[in-house]
Amino acid sequence: MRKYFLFSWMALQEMAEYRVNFLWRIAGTAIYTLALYSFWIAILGSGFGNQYFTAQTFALYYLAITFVQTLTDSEIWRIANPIYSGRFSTDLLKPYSFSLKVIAESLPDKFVQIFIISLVYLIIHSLGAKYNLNIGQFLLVLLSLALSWAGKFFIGMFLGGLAFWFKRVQGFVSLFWNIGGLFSGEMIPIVFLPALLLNISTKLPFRYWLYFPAQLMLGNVTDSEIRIGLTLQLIWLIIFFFASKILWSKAAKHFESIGN
Amino acid sequence: MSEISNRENFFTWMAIHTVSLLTIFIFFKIIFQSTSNINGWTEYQTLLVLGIASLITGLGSLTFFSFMYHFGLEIQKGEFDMKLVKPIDVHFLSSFYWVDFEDVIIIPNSLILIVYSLINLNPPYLLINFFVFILLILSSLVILFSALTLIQSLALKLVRVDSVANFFWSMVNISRYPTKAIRGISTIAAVLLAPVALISSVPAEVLFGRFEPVWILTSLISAVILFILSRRVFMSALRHYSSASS
Repeated sequence: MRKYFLFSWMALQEMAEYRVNFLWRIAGTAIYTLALYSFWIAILGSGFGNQYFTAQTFALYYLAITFVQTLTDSEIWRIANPIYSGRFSTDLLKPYSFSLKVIAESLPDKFVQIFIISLVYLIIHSLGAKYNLNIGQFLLVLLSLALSWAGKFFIGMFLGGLAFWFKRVQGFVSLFWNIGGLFSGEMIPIVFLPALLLNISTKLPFRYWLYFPAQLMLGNVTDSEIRIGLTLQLIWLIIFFFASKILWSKAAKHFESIGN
Repeated sequence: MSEISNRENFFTWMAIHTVSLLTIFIFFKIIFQSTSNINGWTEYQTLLVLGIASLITGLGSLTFFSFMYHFGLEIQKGEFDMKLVKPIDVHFLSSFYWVDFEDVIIIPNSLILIVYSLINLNPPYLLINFFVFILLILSSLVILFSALTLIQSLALKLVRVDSVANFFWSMVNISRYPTKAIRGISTIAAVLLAPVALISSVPAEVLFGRFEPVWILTSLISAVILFILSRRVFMSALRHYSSASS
């Protein structure tokens, strides 16, 4: 286990070394989130969606979405880049799990971003947006976040593993998450989708990876919705676990043939 | 052209850009099913902003957007040093080094959306508006180019600024929304969003016939000042550059 701690420590040192680079990423995300939130306030001001949200509740919703998104980000580039650069050969020879290494390296980044989001929440809280969570809800949120993170991790392994066959996987990743943006609640709260798109969203994993955990955090789900949501998170996790396992077992044979 | 040789990737990017535009198109259609305007911006005015922002993105991808990806990597690998000895302006050579041809589909998609919006808006004096519009599009491209130059100047000192792409894309993506519809927000937010409004919202207003001389002049003057400033900053940073790698 010590070796994985060292991977996290090295990733933290790299983040500290190139801290301006890290700040640029935070700035980009923060400005985009601020702009979208401001635009949504203008939309709410026009009368659209007032039956579901006020400015303050929408701020909490957006913060919850950003929090879940940050925590469960799939780290596809940590998987694909070593394959492209050839460093993956070294990872195969060393006595550690590549998957666990990816997870360990992603932890410092996640902790720092969550810290920043928590600061933003404190600011919003001081401006009057209140939010309460009891211990039972908190445990359910943790479970949902864990399932969401695991599901997105395996989709990351699947999409990143395509790097064994395709020179660039940005296309597949962007296509996947562009479609996801509409059905996950990131671009628009799911309640605003028309009937057809709402129906489609129930058949896809995106809403269970982002919208459902966010609404669980906000206490906006019923008991039956919690049971259905957690079950579907588990089902999608299993699907992508096996999909990534099959892809990587085929990839290992493909990678060997390139080495020969 | 090597981008097209990787056919599956090229066609995938064609699908991505089309789906990406369609996704936001659907988003605005959903919003405007229940409201007639957002702070004075109607459905087709908003879609026109989206089309223009996409057009600017497409034109940028075919010209200088590669600056944000390749420049930092070249410095890290030590490949930038070779550019310094070539008899070509290094700023120009670094900025227009690579044509991102896989993004070419953005331009016809955006033109379709612009034409669709204009048909529904039916603005008067379209031909006159069009000439001013072209001028503002050029101004927007110069503003974006100058902003990217300023940001990339940091790479000459800090070496690794690959996340600058994330920041730059955030600004470009925000321009797909009518930022001039955003009102009653904090001063900080207004200051951050005003430059973004210059990029797509102001050209859109001109095209559908709303001329606001202050915004038009601000866009043109900003483009000139930013270009001069960014060039000076870049060349000054270059004078203090020492190779990051052998």
